[in-house]
Amino acid sequence: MQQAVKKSEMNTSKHALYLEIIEKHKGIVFKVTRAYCKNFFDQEDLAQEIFAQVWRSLDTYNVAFKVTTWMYRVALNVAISFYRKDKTIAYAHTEMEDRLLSYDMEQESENEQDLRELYGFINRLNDIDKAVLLMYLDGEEQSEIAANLSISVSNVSTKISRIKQKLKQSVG
Amino acid sequence: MNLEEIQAMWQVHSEKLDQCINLNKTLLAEKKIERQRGELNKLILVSGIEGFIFFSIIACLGSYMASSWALTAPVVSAFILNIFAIVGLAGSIGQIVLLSKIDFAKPVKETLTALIAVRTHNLNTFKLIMLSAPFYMAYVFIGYDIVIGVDLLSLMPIEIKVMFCIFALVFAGLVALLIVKLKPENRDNKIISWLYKEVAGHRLTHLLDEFENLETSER
Repeated sequence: MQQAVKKSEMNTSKHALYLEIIEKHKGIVFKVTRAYCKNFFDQEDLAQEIFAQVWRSLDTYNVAFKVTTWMYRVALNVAISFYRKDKTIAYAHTEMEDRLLSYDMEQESENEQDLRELYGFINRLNDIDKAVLLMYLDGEEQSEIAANLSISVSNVSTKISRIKQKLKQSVG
Repeated sequence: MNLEEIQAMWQVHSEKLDQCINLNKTLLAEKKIERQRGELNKLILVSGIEGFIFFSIIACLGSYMASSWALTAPVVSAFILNIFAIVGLAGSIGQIVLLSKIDFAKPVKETLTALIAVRTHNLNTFKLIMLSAPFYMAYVFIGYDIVIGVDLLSLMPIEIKVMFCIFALVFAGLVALLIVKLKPENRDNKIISWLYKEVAGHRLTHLLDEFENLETSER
């Protein structure tokens, strides 16, 4: 009986911690899903898969890592391995209350066009370059990006240079 | 706009996101994330079923060998097929171990390597089936013995035996060549590329592509 109560308390605290992490870092999930999936249907599916994986990985969370770093790793790993159905289902018809993550575009109207173009550019990159660019834009150090991907810092530097070139060609 | 200007715009975007995004906690709770069967869990279940099938084959062939123990073609055939079934069972157990070790909080390269190993399972099963294909007569010998109680090999004229042997050897050579060539680095070849897509699936080819992208400029 005592064990059951203890387990229930642990589950409650895990659930509270989970919600706190998700609430605090929902921006990462949003950016990753928008960068990796073109349509709402896949974005919603991917967000759901990331949230599920965050829950499963919470037990093995290593306090040596920043939560942001840990969240990025989980989200990027799920996104890279995620199977995109690329369905053109009219998911836009789904009511806002039926979505896990809803986005109020009106609050972002001044930059919306530039952001759309930027996300369009990120969408065209390969999955690894997407990960590099997302972390770079979020101000992660090259050494941190290298550690998250488990590649050398010089490789990260080369990738960033190539992305810059692609960006130049893309915006003219 | 250069990358630095974009970075500044991104910072503003990130700061505003907290206000712009609404997380539907009710829906999140309803989805019962902790009970949700992830895709990897489904793969564990499939591997478990696959392992059970291989175990049943091993048990059936073992019992057949024990009941008709002698140096006859059907018993030798059962022994050969049993070896393939044991390898298959080991593969299924290995797959379950691999699946349970996957950690999405590890660096991308490590997770990709683990996922590639998992997604290669279908290809390995295909290789195992291909390797057993030159021994197709083993199925025929066992079938004849079980259905009509005849040792087919003992009734075959020597010319037919030689012909089957030559055919099996040629077949084995072709299978060995295919298996040697069936490597990710040979995906430029149309047949290998097709086999990777159709047998291993698009997910493995996608993971292999991304692994190559990850390593580009490191080689």
